[in-house]
Amino acid sequence: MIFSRLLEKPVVDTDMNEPITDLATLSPGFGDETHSSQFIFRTVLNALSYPGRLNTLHHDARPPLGLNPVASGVLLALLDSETSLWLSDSLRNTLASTWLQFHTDCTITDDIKTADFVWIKRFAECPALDQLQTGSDAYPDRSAICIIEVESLTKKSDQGSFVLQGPGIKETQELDISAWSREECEMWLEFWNSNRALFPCGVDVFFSDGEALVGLPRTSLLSFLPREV
Amino acid sequence: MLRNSDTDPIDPSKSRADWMKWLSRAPTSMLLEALKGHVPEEPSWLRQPETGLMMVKGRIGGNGEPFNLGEMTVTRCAIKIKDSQQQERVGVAYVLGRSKRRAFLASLGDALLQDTTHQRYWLEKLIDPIQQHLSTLSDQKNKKAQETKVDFFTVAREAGG
Repeated sequence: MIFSRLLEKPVVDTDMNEPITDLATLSPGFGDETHSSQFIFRTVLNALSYPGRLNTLHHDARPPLGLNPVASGVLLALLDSETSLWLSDSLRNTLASTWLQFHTDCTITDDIKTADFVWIKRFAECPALDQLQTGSDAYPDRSAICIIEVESLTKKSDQGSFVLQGPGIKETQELDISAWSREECEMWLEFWNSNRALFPCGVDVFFSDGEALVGLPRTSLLSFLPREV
Repeated sequence: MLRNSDTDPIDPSKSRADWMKWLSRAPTSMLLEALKGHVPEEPSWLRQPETGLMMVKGRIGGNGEPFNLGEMTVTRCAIKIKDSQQQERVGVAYVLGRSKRRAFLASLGDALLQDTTHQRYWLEKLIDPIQQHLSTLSDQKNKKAQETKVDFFTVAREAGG
């Protein structure tokens, strides 16, 4: 049944004299699909098991130019024909959707409430987390995974850092999101606290700067520590 | 949409869908023979050959409700090559069975045929022999079936013969 969906999609090429720009613009997925996706799965698992820690992630897929390689790789490994993806505005007109659909057969949805995965390019485009699929008390696992791109996770932020506590963290874990303004940090804190209030429901979040992946599972307590001047 | 592609008019220059049809049915040995010297050692894949299942749907009498007939093993791949104008072409193949090599050769044929400057050459070298071979096979099969045809002379026929 894996290919059945492909057949339902409209046929692009009808005239043999026209160049098939559609497929020729796409880049390949994983070179070694089994091991690359297993490696990424392991990294994703580590990221959620040790919230706030930086996990470097390199893989052999070639996402379209301009896309965050970590976010693309994670989605390429996790998506399949039964999952749906919601893209934030600035990702919608990129090759992201065509590329992921070609390689994973996933569905691109406009309805954020039903999406299994949510990919956000800029924090300004991030909706309040309770607008995403948060699962139900009987099935808290039927919730969305949200990937948010950030400028840098390695540089110290001028504003201050988030402090994480909870399962998977011995005492505390610091997390800097350097390009976020003070207002954005406070807004995120608000988003996160209302997400925490839904426990055991709620969404799990990943941050990525294109080099590293950081997991923020719904179990983590978040507070903000302003940088002392 | 159901149609019996075996009875479609045979005209390989018609469209890409037609040559893809012939390529996907060609025996590996014929593809290999025709493509000799053009098979890249390390092909650049858009999608590596992979084997999966495809649901075959049927419909009785051409107007009944469609039903799932069963699943078939299909191998598919997509290959990227540069044509004589240095333009990127993507060849795609879906072939029945598990042979990745066959899918690879069929997709390579599809990619080469998209090169407009050499299209005629490849149609003649690749598609024509395949078409000939497959129609000979089906002729032979028909002939054999004809030989075993039983005429019931005791039953009155409406249009003699």
